[in-house]
Amino acid sequence: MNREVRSVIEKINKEYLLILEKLSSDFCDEKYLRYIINEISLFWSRKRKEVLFIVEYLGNDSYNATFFTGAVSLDVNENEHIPFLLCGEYCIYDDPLPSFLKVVNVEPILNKLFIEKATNSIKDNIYTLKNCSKTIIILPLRYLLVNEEESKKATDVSNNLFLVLFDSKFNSMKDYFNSIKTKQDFLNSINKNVGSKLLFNNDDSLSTPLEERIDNYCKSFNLKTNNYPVAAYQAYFSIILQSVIIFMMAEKTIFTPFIRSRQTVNNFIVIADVLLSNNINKDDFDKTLLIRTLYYSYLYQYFINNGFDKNKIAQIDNGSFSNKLYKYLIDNNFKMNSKLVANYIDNAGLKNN
Amino acid sequence: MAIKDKTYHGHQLIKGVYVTPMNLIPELKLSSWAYERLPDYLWICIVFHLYGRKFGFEIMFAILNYFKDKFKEKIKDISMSSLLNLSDEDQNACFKYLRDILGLGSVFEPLTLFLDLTNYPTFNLCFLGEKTIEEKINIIKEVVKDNYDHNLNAATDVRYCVVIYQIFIGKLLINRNQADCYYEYYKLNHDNAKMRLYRPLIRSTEGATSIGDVELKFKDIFWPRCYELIYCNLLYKKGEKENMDLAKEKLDKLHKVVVYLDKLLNIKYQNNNKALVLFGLLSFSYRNFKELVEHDLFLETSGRSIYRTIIESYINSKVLIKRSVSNQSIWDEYIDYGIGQYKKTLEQKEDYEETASHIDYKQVEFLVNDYRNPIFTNIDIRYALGQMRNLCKEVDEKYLYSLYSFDSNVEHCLWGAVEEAALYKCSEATHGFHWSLAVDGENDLPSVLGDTIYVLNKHLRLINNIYELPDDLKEL
Repeated sequence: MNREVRSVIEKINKEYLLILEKLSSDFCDEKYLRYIINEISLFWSRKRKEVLFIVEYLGNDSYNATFFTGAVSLDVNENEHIPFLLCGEYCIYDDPLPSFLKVVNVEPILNKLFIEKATNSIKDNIYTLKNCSKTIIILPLRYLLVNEEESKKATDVSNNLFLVLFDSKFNSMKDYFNSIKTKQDFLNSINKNVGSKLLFNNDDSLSTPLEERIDNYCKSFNLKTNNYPVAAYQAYFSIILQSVIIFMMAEKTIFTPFIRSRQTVNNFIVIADVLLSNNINKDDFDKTLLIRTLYYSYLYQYFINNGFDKNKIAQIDNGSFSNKLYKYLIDNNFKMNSKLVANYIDNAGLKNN
Repeated sequence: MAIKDKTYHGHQLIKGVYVTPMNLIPELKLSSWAYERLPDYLWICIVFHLYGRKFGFEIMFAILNYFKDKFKEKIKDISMSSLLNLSDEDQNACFKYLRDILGLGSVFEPLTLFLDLTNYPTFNLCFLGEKTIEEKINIIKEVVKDNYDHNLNAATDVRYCVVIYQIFIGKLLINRNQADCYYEYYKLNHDNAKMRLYRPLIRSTEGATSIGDVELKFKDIFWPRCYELIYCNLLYKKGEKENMDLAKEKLDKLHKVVVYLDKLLNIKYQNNNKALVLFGLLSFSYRNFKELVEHDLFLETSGRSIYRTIIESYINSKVLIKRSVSNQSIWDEYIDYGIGQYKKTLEQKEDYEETASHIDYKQVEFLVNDYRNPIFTNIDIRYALGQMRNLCKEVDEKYLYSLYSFDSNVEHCLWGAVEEAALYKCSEATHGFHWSLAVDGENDLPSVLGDTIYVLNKHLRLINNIYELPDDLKEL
């Protein structure tokens, strides 16, 4: 890594740790959480130029940088970060804390679950900065990269993606609302191969009928189903948008996303398929990135499902592992399945004996 | 010829430097309103920005009276630095009074960008509201812009508050003749004729007061953080594209002149070093002008270099003609000098390791040997004909020297030229109008085409005085 970039990262890490420690010791009462999140957002807004500098000059081979997003903690104290470390020479954790600003500045009273989540994130960040600052770089990529303009673009792409989930051809959202009037219209038109493969939350199951799954989602978010086409659109839009935003961050940084949540991984894979087969915004997304993302997701799933020796993995040079894995995948013509990854890991001797 | 040095208005020549009169006043120190004091009084600017002038003064008087009654001994001036140097308890009382009793709510919320929770919890906890960071930044940008120039009416209102507080607490005694100013200032509109007298008085009085000697200086937090939070707004100058048809027409004409002179040289002036030198110098100017036109360099730094070379070619010709009256061998000497310089390059070659270079040593060697046996060629390390300034004076071309000298800034990488050509000015007031690198090189310089044609025409007239040019080629 370029030493100027390294020194900027070190400086930011040091300052961020100092601020987090001071805030969590001086303002431990939960009534200060709103102020703390504001302070963290201010800190990162101040560091915007440095963060963009790091993103631009992190390495010559940015494909070898990976970012972990879509989670509120890294759980380093439970070694949950280890599969992440295998996915790139430079591992960036997308700090979720400044993005909480949207919640704390809108909600007059913060709910217990949110307070717990945010407090844990702060502790997790402190732990990571103290123990893994040499291997993990904490940067709030989403907070700093997805501005209002980008959000609008993500909305447009998500709407386009939503429209290709149907067997009928819809050219616009207007077309969709003109054609789909009832629940039955919707269920008859949605493409079963794609539309029913998206997960609405982490507890959702693909074996449950789609109709029931959409109803459950609407119930959990208090969406009224009397206007079914709108409710179904809202349900799909939010989960598509999440994946699209991850794509956009990847596109802007040329870093590969590492996604841990079961729902997000599943949706990302489905949407990647749709993107690749329908050529939606094909110029905006780099196929290499998509393929790497898919394989990193397989890699994580493999570790979760098979168990692994964390100590063995900790000794591996993360950069060389991800590069060798990628080369192995190229040699195998990028067959889009998880068996390749599993074979590779089996041969690397990382499993528990 | 002794040449008298130029004098610049009011400047004194001291050890080779013309020193401006302001720098001759002992103990004179600059104190910038914008950089040094504006951040400290930004909270007052915000009051006026949000409440307007009339209501703003009402609020400010209420605040100043409160400061005087409650903290007269502790608040010696109303700078933010002084307020932040109060004890936590006093700050708490003071800020809560402003927020709750005066009902200002989170008026000072934009300042939480600087007075953060980590370092200034009392202020931050008191004034943090629901504005987004962008909203706060926009207010700060507007307020700074509206008050940046110390002569602005808005800035003068703020400075009035600073002075009036000094009067309130008895720190500043005013002359009876000036009492009306302080009594009437806030009641009068800025377009009132009296204000033309009052405003300078307020500004000079405020300029003479100083922010107390406090440990923390708010400006030291303010400016660096503005730089962090706010994007640059870079200014660059786009020049107008030159009329290429016109430029090509002039080039074509000059080309015809050179063709004509070449024929003349071959037919009539073979073995005539005077003609060779004079025609050669014009041909050299033509070569430079051709590059200028064909590569569209009119708005570029290299355009200035070319223009400077064309001046030098003309001045050299004129000097040589003038000196040749008393020195017939000056043409040979001029060639001798130039070939000597090439010989120097050959001699120096042995001192360095051979690297990839634009010097074609074989070509240089050919030129040196071709002229005469190099063992008879001297290497003259003095100026060729003399210093350019003296040469221009010698041939009554002082105006051209001022242009030549200006373009020397580009040639010698002097800072004015660096700023003009290779830097962008940031017009963001909160950044203090700093410089940035012109990374995409979009800064256009004024076109050199007109000046170049002017010099080339002079050059043609000079040649025409000796070797008559065809009628249609006497002027470009």
